[in-house]
Amino acid sequence: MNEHERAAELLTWQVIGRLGGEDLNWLSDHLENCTQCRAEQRVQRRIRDAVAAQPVVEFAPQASFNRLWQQIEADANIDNPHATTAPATAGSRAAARRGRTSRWLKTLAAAQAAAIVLLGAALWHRQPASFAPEYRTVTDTQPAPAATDEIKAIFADQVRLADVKEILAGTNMLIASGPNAAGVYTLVSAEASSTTAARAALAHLRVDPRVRFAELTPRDPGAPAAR
Amino acid sequence: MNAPTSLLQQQREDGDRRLLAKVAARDREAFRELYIIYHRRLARFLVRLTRRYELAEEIINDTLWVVWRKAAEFRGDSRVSTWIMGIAYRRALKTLRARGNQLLDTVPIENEPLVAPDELGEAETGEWILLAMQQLPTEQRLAVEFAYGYGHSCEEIALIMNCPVNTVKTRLFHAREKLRTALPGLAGVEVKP
Repeated sequence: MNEHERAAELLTWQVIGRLGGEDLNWLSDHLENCTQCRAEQRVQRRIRDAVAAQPVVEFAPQASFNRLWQQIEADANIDNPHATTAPATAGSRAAARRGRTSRWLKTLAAAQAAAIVLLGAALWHRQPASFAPEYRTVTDTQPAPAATDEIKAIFADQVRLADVKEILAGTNMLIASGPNAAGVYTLVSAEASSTTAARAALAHLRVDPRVRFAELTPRDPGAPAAR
Repeated sequence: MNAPTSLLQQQREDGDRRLLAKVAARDREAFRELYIIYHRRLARFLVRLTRRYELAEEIINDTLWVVWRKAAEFRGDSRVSTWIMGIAYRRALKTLRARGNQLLDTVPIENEPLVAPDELGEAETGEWILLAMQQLPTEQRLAVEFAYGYGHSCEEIALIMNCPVNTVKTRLFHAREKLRTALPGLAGVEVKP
């Protein structure tokens, strides 16, 4: 690196006021005697002025903050339904510090559990009002139920209850069971016996960044329905 | 290379640290204050990076949500603004990649020279620079942004972008060269062959 290249590098920090010590002294001396580097200094000042003077984007930060705060409060309420968002006391601050590390994991687990309950209940109510046994006898006259494809899915770690609802609503799928020990959910189409729907849902799930894994698995028609 | 901070920068840092300590103690008003300050700071580079207001807002909220959760873990090894910028930078890249990488893919390859748009002939130099910056590869553009726009030191930018200091220097070197090439009228400097 020659001295002009060194000067050009240092000028970046000099024009933003982040250069000091020997580097600044050396650069000042060099600039006194170098027309080329003084021109470079003017260039860099213009770049600085142009970048720094860009108009501030007009947002409504208070409205955005309110949305974020609602989300934080919702998460906190799922974690601890008795929690308040009133100004913290010394005791509650200490408790908050103790619980902070695991709070989000608890929130996620609670959100997923709530999703299972809610969506499981929805699935239950969407079933035909029939409590016919899941087995068949040789004298049954009703046609056997068609096999329904299931989707095994794993959601991303940061996915929240609202995300799960949105993902499932967008694919018209319901949680049939899960998560198992590996975090796998079993999803079924809200449209009874619709393999086509399951395949369409699979395509959507696979492009959704909130879904880490999705795979179609044909369900054994003899197996009991998962609830 | 020394990276002194001005009195104004130091006062801002002191204020940020006071607010962050209160946020760590779950002080809503302090969080709101910090949010308003950083909303403005982050919006500028995120809008230019994403070119979409609603996506920039989403990344801002993701970033400040992480700040709310992790405030107590801030060790004070860097400036608060460096820490928050780093979170925003990573969230932005992650969001863009999750959305198909289309914006990151549209930027020119690393060392391709810029071409000054014809329509810039009558524009002011400042506008030239901003328009030419849009043609820089993302990493070079952000390095320019963090240095000239936000006044971060080389070491701070390396922390934000999670890369070696020499990589920051290289990105800035290439960015300067391209801007100069694209803007032959800049400060009356002759274009290098």
